[in-house]
Amino acid sequence: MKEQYILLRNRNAFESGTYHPLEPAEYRATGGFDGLERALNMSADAVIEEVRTSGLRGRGGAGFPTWRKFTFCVGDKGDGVKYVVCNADEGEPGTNKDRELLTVDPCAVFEGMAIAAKAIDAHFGYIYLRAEYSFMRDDLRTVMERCREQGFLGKNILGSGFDFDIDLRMGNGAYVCGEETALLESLEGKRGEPRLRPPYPGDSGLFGKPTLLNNVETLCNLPAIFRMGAEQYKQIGVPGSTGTKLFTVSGNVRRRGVFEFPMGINLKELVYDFCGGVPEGQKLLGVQTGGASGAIINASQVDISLDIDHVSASGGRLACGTIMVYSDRNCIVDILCNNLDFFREESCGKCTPCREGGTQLYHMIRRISEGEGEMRDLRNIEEVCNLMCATSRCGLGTSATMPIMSCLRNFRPELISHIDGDECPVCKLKGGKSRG
Amino acid sequence: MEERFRDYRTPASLLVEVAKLTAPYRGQRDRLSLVTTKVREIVPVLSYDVVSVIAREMDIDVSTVYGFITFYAMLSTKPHGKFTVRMCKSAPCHVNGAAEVVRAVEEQLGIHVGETTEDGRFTLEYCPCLGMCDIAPAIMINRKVYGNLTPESVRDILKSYIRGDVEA
Repeated sequence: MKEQYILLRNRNAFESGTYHPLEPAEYRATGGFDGLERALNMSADAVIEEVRTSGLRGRGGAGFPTWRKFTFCVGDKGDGVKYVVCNADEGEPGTNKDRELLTVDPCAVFEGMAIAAKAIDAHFGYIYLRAEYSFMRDDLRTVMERCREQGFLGKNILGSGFDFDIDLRMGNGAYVCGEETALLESLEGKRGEPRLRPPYPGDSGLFGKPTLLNNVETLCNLPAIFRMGAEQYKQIGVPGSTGTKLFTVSGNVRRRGVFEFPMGINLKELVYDFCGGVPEGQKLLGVQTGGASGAIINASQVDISLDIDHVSASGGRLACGTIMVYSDRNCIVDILCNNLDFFREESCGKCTPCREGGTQLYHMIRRISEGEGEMRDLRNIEEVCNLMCATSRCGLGTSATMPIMSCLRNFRPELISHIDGDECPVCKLKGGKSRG
Repeated sequence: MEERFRDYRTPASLLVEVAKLTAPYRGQRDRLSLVTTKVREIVPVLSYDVVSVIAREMDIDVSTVYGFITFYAMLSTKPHGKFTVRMCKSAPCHVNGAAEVVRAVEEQLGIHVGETTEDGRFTLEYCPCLGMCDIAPAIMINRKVYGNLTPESVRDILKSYIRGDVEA
């Protein structure tokens, strides 16, 4: 099983010190901005058609076809001002692929944004970088300025007559700002609370203008598509999920980090063969794909293909490619508690189902983890989850139910034994007062 | 909470600095994030006085600025130390021994999570995923990240801050 470097093609050179990401000229020398050059010589329609052919789907979570998102922003709308926004608010627990991309090849992000701008005829963009990554801020500003000096950004890019510039804006620490409309609110200097839709960002987004919002990794795929051509690009991966995907593997596993593979690789092989499995003397308890907002599957279910549709069909989501591995040194109820505590704190509080539902879920699981749970809690949990999914304003309220709903299916015996069993060996070891 | 927020006094000389820093952004609501972050670096607490000056200079409501500050995890109307130690609380760190690291930090600094040391040098906070999952468990001290921590190694790191080897 081998990695396939498309987006991270300069990583080896970077790690060995021979490639300097802050020098746009070095990026250029490795084929950087070739894709943009090609896109700039095409019509906007042709750019979108190329993205459509490539089969690219969003890498931030939902897996929405990227070309369709483009079409929402196309056409004459209002005064003609449009924005491209790069979502670098990588808040999903267990994910650091965007940090890797912004570190190894920041120019590829700018190039992707410029291609997207060409497609929808925008001339200004923002990168919204999460506060936790503020240590990258100065470097990104430096390389942005160099790109301007060397004609890759700003007026008349690569002599094409097309103008596009970018500004970097910092977040202040809020998971919900990864949600597109909350991010736009935050960019406007407001509390990051999601908007009601419609209107959609494609019609009325940032400052009321048509706005295209994409994840860092999605944007980084655009240069590759235009450099190698959509026909060749779509040969990578599997039908329905083309291209490569960055996977962040973390938790109780021997080899942790960000790895790039074609879509559709096998999860079991990734965890056991490539990452060496769980540490010596431990057994696999389960794997959570898609971060804290993803489903948790048990050890017998890990033999699945990692592509967008396959993972969705199994009740989870591939989302941002997060693979959290848990060993039997952990209790599943304790992990759930950690997950729900996260959502309880990160709910923005604007809508009641997410704010109150998340809190109730946490308390019910907390009770179970402390051995005070009852069987009817499981029924109540299910009811609250269904309500949250049906009525929450944004994806956060839906996401919060994913780990717990999947555990009700995949770890039911563990949950029940925590309610009426004698003793949980793991919790006891950690000093918990669990009787179950 | 509201009373405590109003209780903190900020010296007039500092408020002049705050006004100077904020004035160029008058009418630019979208720069509120930048302004509050910059102001936070020069004042020990985003007090009612400070918030009022920001609101006046940017020409927005005090409640709007207060609402903004209290929404985001990195901003707060409580006093903060010279160094803010942020402990990642998310699952990848959690399953890699974050609890032991937190205990070591609490013992070393003599405070609990959410508190500031009496000398005003350290604030200890929990924070959601730092995005350092490949080196979990991790902490962030101001803008610097430390990973692959054990109770022993985190004590050494804190020692270097306590001794003053590291600049803010």
